[in-house]
Amino acid sequence: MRLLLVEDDAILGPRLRQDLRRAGYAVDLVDNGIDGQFQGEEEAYDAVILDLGLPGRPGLEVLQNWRKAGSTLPVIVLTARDAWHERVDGLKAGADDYLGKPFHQEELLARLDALLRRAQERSQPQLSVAGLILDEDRQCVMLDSGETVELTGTEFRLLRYMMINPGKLLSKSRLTEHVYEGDADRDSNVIEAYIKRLRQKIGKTLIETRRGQGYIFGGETP
Amino acid sequence: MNSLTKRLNIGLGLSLILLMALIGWLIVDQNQRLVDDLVVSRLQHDGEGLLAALQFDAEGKATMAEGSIAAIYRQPLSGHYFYIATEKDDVIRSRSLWDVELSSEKLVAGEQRVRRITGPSEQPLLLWAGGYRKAGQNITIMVAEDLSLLQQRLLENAILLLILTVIFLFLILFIQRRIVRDSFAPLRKLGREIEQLERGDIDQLTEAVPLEVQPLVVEVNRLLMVMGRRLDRSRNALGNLAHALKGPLNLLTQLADDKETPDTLKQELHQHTTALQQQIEHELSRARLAGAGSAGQRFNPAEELTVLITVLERIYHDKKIKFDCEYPEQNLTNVDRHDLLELLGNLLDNAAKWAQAKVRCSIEKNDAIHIVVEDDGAGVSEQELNTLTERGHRIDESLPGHGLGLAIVKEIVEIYDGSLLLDRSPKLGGLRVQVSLSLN
Repeated sequence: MRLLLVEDDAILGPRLRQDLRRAGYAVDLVDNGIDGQFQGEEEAYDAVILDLGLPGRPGLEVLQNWRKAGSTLPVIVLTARDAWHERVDGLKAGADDYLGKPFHQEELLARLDALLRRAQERSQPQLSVAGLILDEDRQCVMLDSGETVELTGTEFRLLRYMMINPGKLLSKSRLTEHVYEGDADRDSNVIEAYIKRLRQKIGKTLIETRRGQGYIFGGETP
Repeated sequence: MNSLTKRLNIGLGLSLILLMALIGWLIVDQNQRLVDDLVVSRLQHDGEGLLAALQFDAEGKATMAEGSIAAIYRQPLSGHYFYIATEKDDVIRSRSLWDVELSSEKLVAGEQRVRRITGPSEQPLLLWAGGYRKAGQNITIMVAEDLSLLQQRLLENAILLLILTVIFLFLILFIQRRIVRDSFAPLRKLGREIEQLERGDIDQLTEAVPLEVQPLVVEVNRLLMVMGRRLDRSRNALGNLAHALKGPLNLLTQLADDKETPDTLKQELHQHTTALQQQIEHELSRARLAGAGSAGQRFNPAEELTVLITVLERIYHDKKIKFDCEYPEQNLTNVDRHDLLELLGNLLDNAAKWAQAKVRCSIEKNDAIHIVVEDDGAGVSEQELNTLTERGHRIDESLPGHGLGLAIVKEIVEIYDGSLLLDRSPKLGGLRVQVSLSLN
């Protein structure tokens, strides 16, 4: 799951990125409104955490521009301006959630999780597909046999993305986009290597290869 | 009397009546003079005719030449009379006069007099008298004419004039009232606009008004703009302050959350940051309140509440609370949108915080705005409720958990001169908060 974090505070930004990474997200950090808007338009993110008081372009304007361009990207607005009317105006401008500063890291993660689940239209808190149950807190997966397998950060992100999109054809480039951060080395061979390692951990049958097209998780195409 | 319309109507009406009366009097008077002058000049002619016809015999006795007297003077009480008196007390009078004496006065030659007298059968006469000298004698010739017919005509004319004047007066007064009313129409429109402004239907007054009122309207608009901007500016500044304060505060919070921070320090950090945050929150919310009476205030309950509830659903996403709201369809006016959102946000937030699954909220508007928010949480005990209703009691100190939110609610209620009532919800069992905001 890849996130865009737009936060200008030089201490809070990297700190949040670290927390989010720890929680199993790939995070791109941008520290101004103009780059933020551009990144949000150009890259495939699963959600955005957007500060409102940004240099370059105000966060609310960035958000409005995205929405005007027809983007449905889930956005959590993060701001010190948290009077109720500001929250209401934030949602009116197209935010999906609004979190006032100061906030606890757990609160942000919980809201982010809720937002992503809403966006993916799934209601149960645990990801459970094709006999696999993903433990997002501990970043491990429980197999059909009841055995629990530990996952590395990238494996976890890759498996989570595939479990969120079961039965869909996922191209290598799409997987790369949602699993890696923007500045990471995007060699599609790396994905192949990770798929191989995942198959070793969760069994060969769950991930099907479509030659030249990509992968399908969970067997049958709907 | 403080009505411009009345003042103008009365002022214009009085001056009009005065003018009409003056003109009427002048016309009547001039007519009278004209008639008098005409009559006098005729009398004078007749008088001179009589003088020419006057003869003296050898003894110096005066007689009139035969055939020289107009028939009208021979007909008794015809209304035309003459009377000639000589120096030797000879008197010649017209037959129309019988034996009535017109006047006994004697004039010297060259003297002339005109006056009104009452003649035979109470006829009002205009008398002309002239003194002459003929055949060595001083003669006084008096000629008089009955004016009653002429007076009658004059009176008739005056009455006609009066009637016409009164008719025209009413007509002009009517027109004048219309003009006055039309002239004040822009003011009445302005009044209606000011009402709209109060209700928040418009933000500015129309400046297309008569020249006399325009400076006033422009000034009102300017003040509205200045006040609006000032409120915006101060709210903006507060937002900036919040931003500036909360950045570092946020870092402290994050630091407290950090796994590497020792637990003892964690707790202390947490305590202080929470206290700081609450203090900042309270003062900022308080300073942000606008209060009633600023222009352009309106609140659309359907639009704002829907979004507000979405905000709350996001905050309490793990509780799946059902919000049940009733509100009027039309806009609420005379109440600041930010203030009302702050009030509702805090009330609903509190309710949602303590609710198990249900929050009810109703907004009603009649002479005041009535807001009821109740939840199905644990509520507060009777004792706590009693403490809360104490005058001057600070809610945030007394009610743990129902902290800050209700303190701000109380502030808002105070600046709107309203009332706040806390009790147990009869339907849901939790806390019920009833707020009334005065609309004046």
